[in-house]
Amino acid sequence: MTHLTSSPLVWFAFAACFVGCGDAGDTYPPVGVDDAGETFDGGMAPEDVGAGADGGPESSPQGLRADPSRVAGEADPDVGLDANDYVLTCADGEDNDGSGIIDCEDARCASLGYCCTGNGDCCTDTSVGTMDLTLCGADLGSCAPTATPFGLGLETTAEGLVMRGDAFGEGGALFGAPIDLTTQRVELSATISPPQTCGSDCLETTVLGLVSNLPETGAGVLADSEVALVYSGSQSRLMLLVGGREQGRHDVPRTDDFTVGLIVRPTGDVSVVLGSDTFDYETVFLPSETGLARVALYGRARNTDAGSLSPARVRALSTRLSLCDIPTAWSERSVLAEGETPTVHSAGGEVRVAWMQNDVVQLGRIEGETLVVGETVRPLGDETFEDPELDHDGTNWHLYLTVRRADGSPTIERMPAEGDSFGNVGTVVLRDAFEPVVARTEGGLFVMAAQTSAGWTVYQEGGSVLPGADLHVPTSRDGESVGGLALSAHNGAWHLHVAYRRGTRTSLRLFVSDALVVWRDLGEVLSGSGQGFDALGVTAPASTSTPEGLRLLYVGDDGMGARVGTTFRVAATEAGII
Amino acid sequence: MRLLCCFCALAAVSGCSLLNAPDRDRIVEDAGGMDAPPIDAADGGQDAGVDTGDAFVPPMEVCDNMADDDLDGLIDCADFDCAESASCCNADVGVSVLDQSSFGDLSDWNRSAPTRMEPTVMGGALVDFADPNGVVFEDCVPFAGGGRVSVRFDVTGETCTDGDCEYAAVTLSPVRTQGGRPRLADELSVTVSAGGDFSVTQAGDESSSGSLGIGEHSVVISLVPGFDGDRPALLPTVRIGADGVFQAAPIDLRNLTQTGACANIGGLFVAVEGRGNAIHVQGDVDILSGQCTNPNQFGTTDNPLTSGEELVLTSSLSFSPPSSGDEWADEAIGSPGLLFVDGNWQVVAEATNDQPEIETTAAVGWSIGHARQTPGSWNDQWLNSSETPQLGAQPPSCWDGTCPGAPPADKVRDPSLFEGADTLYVLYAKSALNDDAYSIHIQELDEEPSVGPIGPERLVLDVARETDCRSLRDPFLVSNPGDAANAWLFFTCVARTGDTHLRMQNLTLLVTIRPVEGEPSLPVFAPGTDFGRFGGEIFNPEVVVDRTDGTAPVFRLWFAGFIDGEVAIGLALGQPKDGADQAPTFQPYPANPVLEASMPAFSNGCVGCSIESFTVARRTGTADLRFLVARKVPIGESGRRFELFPLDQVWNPLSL
Repeated sequence: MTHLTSSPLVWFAFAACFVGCGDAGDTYPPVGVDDAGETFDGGMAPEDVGAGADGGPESSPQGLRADPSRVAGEADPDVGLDANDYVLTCADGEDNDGSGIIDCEDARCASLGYCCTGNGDCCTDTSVGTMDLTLCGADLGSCAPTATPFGLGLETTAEGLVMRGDAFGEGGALFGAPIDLTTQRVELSATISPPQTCGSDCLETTVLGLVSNLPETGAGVLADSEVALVYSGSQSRLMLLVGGREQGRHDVPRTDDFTVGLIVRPTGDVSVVLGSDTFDYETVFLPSETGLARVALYGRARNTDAGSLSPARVRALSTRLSLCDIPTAWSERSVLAEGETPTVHSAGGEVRVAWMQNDVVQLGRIEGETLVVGETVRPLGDETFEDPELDHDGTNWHLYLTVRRADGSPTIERMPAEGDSFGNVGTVVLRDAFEPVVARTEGGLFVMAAQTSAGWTVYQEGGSVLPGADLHVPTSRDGESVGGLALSAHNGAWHLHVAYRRGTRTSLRLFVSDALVVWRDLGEVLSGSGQGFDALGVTAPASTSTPEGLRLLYVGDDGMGARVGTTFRVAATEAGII
Repeated sequence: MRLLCCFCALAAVSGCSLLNAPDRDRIVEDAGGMDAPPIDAADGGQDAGVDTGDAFVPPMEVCDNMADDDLDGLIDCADFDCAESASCCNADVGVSVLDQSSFGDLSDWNRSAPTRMEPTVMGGALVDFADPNGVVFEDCVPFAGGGRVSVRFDVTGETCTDGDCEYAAVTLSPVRTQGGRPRLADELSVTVSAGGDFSVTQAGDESSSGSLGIGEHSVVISLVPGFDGDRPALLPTVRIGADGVFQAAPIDLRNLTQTGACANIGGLFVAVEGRGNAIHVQGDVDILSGQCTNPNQFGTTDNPLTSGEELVLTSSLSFSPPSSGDEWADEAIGSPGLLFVDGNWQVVAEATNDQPEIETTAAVGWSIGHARQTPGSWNDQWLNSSETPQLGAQPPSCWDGTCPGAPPADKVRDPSLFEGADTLYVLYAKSALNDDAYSIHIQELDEEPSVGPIGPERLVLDVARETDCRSLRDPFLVSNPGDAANAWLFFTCVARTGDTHLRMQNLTLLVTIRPVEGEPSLPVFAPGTDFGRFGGEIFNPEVVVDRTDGTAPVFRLWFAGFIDGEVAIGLALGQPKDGADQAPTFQPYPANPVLEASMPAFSNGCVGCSIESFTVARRTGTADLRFLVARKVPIGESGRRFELFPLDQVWNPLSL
């Protein structure tokens, strides 16, 4: 059968055609054309990539930056690196500028989007506040409306809050709304007045922490702090406790007021701030095991010193909450539909989805957490459709598909929009290629990855191979096979979710890149849940960036069948180093 | 016979440890460290010859020749390199949990596709599968410790349509139902087709194939614990017919299912699948669940031990019975010591009457209790327990207002037990109440808890001798396998600078137990040792010594450390290099940790439980190890209790 196309124009992959194609693309979607109007093989792509990659530093900038407005640190002529060099070398494992600091740890790299992902200090402020606890009068609620006392409670005084716990239990209060420690950076600060006297038989404890349980009121209650700074009046000492275990200790003034800070990051890193000093503790707890927690002030005051006139008091409490971009912080997963190879794209406040079901493309949209099923797109004759990919160019929606003919040969085609649906006869954009993965930069520029005879190749707007773009690292893992890619631009970086299979189990790893040239491997970010529709694994990912975070669709496998599932992670979209 | 073996290519791709296992247990001195001259590759390193010639190529350890071929100080099955060796882990050694399970009336088997036509049973054999269907043994088989499955296929003819042949297969699957799929999901499957062709597949991908012809053929799948790189895995071998042997890709232990009979020890479902009547599955299917050396696998059989005023479980120790009025252990129990002596389990543990949560800001006192029980009565009330502290003050602590006078001067913690020359000893750490500079002490202990300690307390080691440590904790003493007059004391050094770490000290047992003159303590691990996921701090050494009657004793040392802020347990193995009486050199197990709070064997039914400390002991005359793990159990929103949780593990006797 002769395949019908709505246009004789085709994409092609020759580098020699690169400039001409760009010129020809005066209307979007892009088309690839040569003078003879012939369609070219996707299999030619690798040579083209090689030519671009070998072009040396004098060639045009390589790859396509997800967010060109993100700049690396200033160029350092002393080491011969310019800003573009930093873009390309911040994930190569080398100390390129001789600073003694490697890759994203280097301040020059830190603000790049692909260094921001998974960084507990690269976040967006969501809430900042300070409470003067000396102004509460007799009513704690007057200065801390959200406070919830527990245990033996606390006492308001003109000099601040006094914890009322004893040897058998604690007293204090929770403040503010629950905080999701898997995505939020929490910065707490408290000003504490030491007790007037506190000897060896004095039990004076003031704790600033994050509590995940909801302690009851009354005697014998223990708060269960995930992370806490514990002040001991008798020892004039601060201790950092994580899960009840001491991680470090710091001396504080015995008589003067002092201010302490506690920074808890969704990466599990914690810092203690004392005056101008910051003490860092790396990966000391697992936020995923904690979930939600509330800010807490609590402690004990059992001071039998005859001369003691006043116990320890907390004079002020400040909080700063910031949303970060944490690749493992997924919300609850749910089944979306029966089917396979899903796609999702968000544009203009609309989240559209599509997937293959019984050999037809099923369209739909996600409204809130609800799937609204739309129309279908069916192949003609003996062709089959595979691998749908949705795209929106700022004006129109597009549907890309692998179209496989009866002889098995694949082409990638773009179907024309017809209202909320698409036609079933499209434009051939690439021959001898399949499994298109399309994405756009935050500025709207288009890229498409596809499988060709030479492996995964990235094409740019206009149809030519994107010089320098390289998916070899993310798609090559010893002992594992790739089960699909999802590419989206989010938070100033390219996010490439790759499904791998090991035995019967599949999981997703995340790679991030600034320009699709070098990749940071952020490890496994989603795997089989052990129960339900995705018990054994997750594969065939599709992702899209939304103003609130990242929407992910995937195929869940329970060993008996495959269904399309979805999950979401709330994430910063314009985060910066705090 | 035509055999097309894809083994080599597959192994190369998968990083199969049989071909390229990293030699992780090489000892620095032998491995040609940064400053060491290389060993000549030409002589294979067998004579440990040293020259400055070619780059060093590690020799291979031969696992059954009683020699340290790779010169890493570890011999045969004690060497990690032999973890996957059949000579060190023979499934036949294991207990057959299923024995020979014949099809009979299929009462032990369930259909994998209940909605399809049922397979036919005739004379104890499956003779007609009709639709693609199969039967799955009724429960998951715990293969994590190794195992074997044997099936006999009888190829009766060629029944193929357009190249699509009838078949029968034996399949190891993580699920018991195939749903709408034609076959069960397979971690490993051996399919015999009409005409006699066979294929070995993993997750649907063919790794080996060949032809057997018409007639009866046996298929044996052996699973041996080992490593895939640094990940624990099962290493499958498939024997087909008389002489076809194929090595399949490693099965990651994380791919095993943890349901039903596999809740504690991961496993797979065993199925016989098929389509049509061309292949008959004859007679019995042998399914063996091995008990090979797999330090990541634990089982639970007995109840936890508790000490509080509230008898949570019937196996509660009778520390602080409410009726006694001496509630010295009602807030917390921990740091257990365990020893099997004269047919009884002896348990010692630290306990206190004040909340340990206070300890970060005020001095909390601790004392030590003692209890005894026969193994068969573990789950009964431990009436033979010290109702008052065996060591330390009564009450240990005073914040709860129970002290009649001044607070006690000292606190004692971290007890362990040691049996030497028919005498039972208790070792412990002792410090002034308001100080944390613990020193290590020892005292004789009567086996009968009601009698208590005998003779004077003796100081063994303190910070005045161990000047790099600001506190000495967690003493653990084992006999020196090469010198009956000596013993090795392992302990935790809370360092004045740097990380908390483990040290060992040679002690003489003659007259007075004390350090051997002129022999300072040694670090258990060489500086820079890679502990994998563990952070820098290592503590709580527990040691079991095997092969004590030979010249190559094996020290198995478990330790605690932090992973993501939670306590986890790791393992290391060591052997003396220069004689059985010399200090062993330890290397961490590549697949550490062996126990985390999140692992099913520990967390099953105990949401939010955390590991606090632990001990290990071997029940005399068996290969069984019993771990007693002190853990914190959340109660409601604002409470908790502490208990000692028993976990069992079996080591392959061949490795002893």
